[in-house]
Amino acid sequence: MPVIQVEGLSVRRDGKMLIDSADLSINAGEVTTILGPNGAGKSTLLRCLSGTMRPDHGHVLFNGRDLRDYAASELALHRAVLGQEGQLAFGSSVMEVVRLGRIPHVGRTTRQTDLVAVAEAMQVANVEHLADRNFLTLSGGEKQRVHLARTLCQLLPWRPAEAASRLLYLDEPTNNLDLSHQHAVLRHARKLAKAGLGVVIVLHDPNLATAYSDHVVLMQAGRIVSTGPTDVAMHPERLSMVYGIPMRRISHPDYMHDLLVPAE
Amino acid sequence: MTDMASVPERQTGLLLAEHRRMRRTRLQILAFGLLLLLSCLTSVCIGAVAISPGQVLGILTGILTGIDVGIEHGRREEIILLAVRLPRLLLGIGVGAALGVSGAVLQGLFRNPLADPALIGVSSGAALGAVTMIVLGGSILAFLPAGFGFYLIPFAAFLSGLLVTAVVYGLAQRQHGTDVSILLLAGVAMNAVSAAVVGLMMFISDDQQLRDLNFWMLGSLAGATWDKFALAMPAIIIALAALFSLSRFLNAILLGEEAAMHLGLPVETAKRLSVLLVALATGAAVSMTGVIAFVGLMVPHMVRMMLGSNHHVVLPGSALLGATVIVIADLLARTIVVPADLPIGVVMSLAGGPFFIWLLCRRRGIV
Repeated sequence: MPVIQVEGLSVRRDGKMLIDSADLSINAGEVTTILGPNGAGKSTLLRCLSGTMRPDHGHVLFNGRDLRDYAASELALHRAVLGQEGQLAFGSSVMEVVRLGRIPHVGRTTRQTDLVAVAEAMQVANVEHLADRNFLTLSGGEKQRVHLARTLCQLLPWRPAEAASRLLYLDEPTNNLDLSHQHAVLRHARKLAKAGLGVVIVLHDPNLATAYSDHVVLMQAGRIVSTGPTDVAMHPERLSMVYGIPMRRISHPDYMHDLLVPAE
Repeated sequence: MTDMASVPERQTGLLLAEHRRMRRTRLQILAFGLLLLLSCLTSVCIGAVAISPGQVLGILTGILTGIDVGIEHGRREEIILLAVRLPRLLLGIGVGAALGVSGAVLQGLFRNPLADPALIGVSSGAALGAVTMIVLGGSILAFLPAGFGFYLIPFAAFLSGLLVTAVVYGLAQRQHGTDVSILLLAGVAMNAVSAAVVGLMMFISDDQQLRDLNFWMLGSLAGATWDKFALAMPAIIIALAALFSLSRFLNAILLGEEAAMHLGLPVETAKRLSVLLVALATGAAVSMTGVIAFVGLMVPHMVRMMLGSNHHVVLPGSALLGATVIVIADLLARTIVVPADLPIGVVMSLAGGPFFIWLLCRRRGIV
């Protein structure tokens, strides 16, 4: 059974359809990428899936249960979101920032469990050495990794059987990152999916999407244009239509994935 | 994905580091507490009539436990301490704590280092109520039993402070919650309107009213009595205790409102509650002493510079340091130009402004 099932989802704001009757399902153990041009409704869809925004029509089933039936505090134990707001209002140590991810667990676990989860998340995101640094003095890439650790530790620890019921949402996690950090973050995401977690990522770059996702949801003007396994969904003709520029696929014998490039 | 072998080892290390951090924090808070105690003792001893620390101790133990510890003191010292300095000191502590914590909460809530209690309109609203009552209250007072007039000004100040905050908050309501930037703008606008009405009242007031009014606008603890203390403290204590319990929410909101929602917190409710409690604490404080500027803005910054941004520490720290700052400022206010009593607001701004600038320069490495 898919972790997320979406039926007839619509969002209307100020007379404009931000999302127009979307149907979709998301599986555990996979990386699902939401792709599309600016204003296609990617972030809105993500907000609806993560329970931050109420759709006007349709519903989202999370582990078979309507998202509306979850209390906010219960939902926070099963899904975590790395949003686009990355700035911190006041300086704080990296350790303290990551620990904020444990807020949903207050009163449910021991301090020891909290600390181990924090340490494990920091290790995965490769920020252990920054623990005592002031967050505000970090580089953009380091900040993003700290947020990744914070988001991740919200879902820890899980037994293998539990992983399949948990979801990690990453909204444009590669923003402001240089090439190597973009790939590092997405490699982490793949690793987590391999461990059984459902991972949903909003991305802008078609080539990052092909390289790291199992499943792609292609959006345009609030509609889902195509959804399916990466190779199928990422058809150059569809991409040309969605982005409004001719695209073509280039293969290279040394490279595992085809490259999608503008044709002109 | 857990690396089983290294877990116990890592756990011990982490727990040790955690304990070290907690112990350091406790020591820092304790140091803040001692600083407050020291400034309190200094404040009650110094004045037109000097009272020695021993005498203070003797009088207090005598009153509280009935035991005579054998330190000689005159009747005059006892009366001055109990009827004048002590209520003034304790009211100052309450007011300082209320303003310090309110500032820290609003800065955290609005994610803005420039926020202070005056911003949501509670101070200017209270000033509006008090000033109106001072100037126009005479006609109302005629119909009330004697003695009631004493409470009328603080009461009007408190109510109108809450009212103006409610208007500001109401203006900031949007379909999907409270818009913080609108809230700040509405606060600025309501402050301007309040200031205009205060100006109008000044214009039509007579000389005596103008003097009263001035004292109120600049803030002063000179009128402190046990009655005022008893009136203000319950509201302040309840509001502060409730605000302390919002520390976790304030920590989460450092990341932004949406991130706090992702952590499963009831952001809208907590926001509303924070503003209400700040209005209650500040309203109760300001209605007794008049507007005291700078404490709510400056104290939380000083605390954050020393203790970091964790609100579990920032809020108690701001309460203690806010109280200390007011106690010291009030000591200066009543001793600089003896026998006159300077408004504490003047002292705060005179000493606080340059001090704050120095702090900012130091942080940027200029000094």
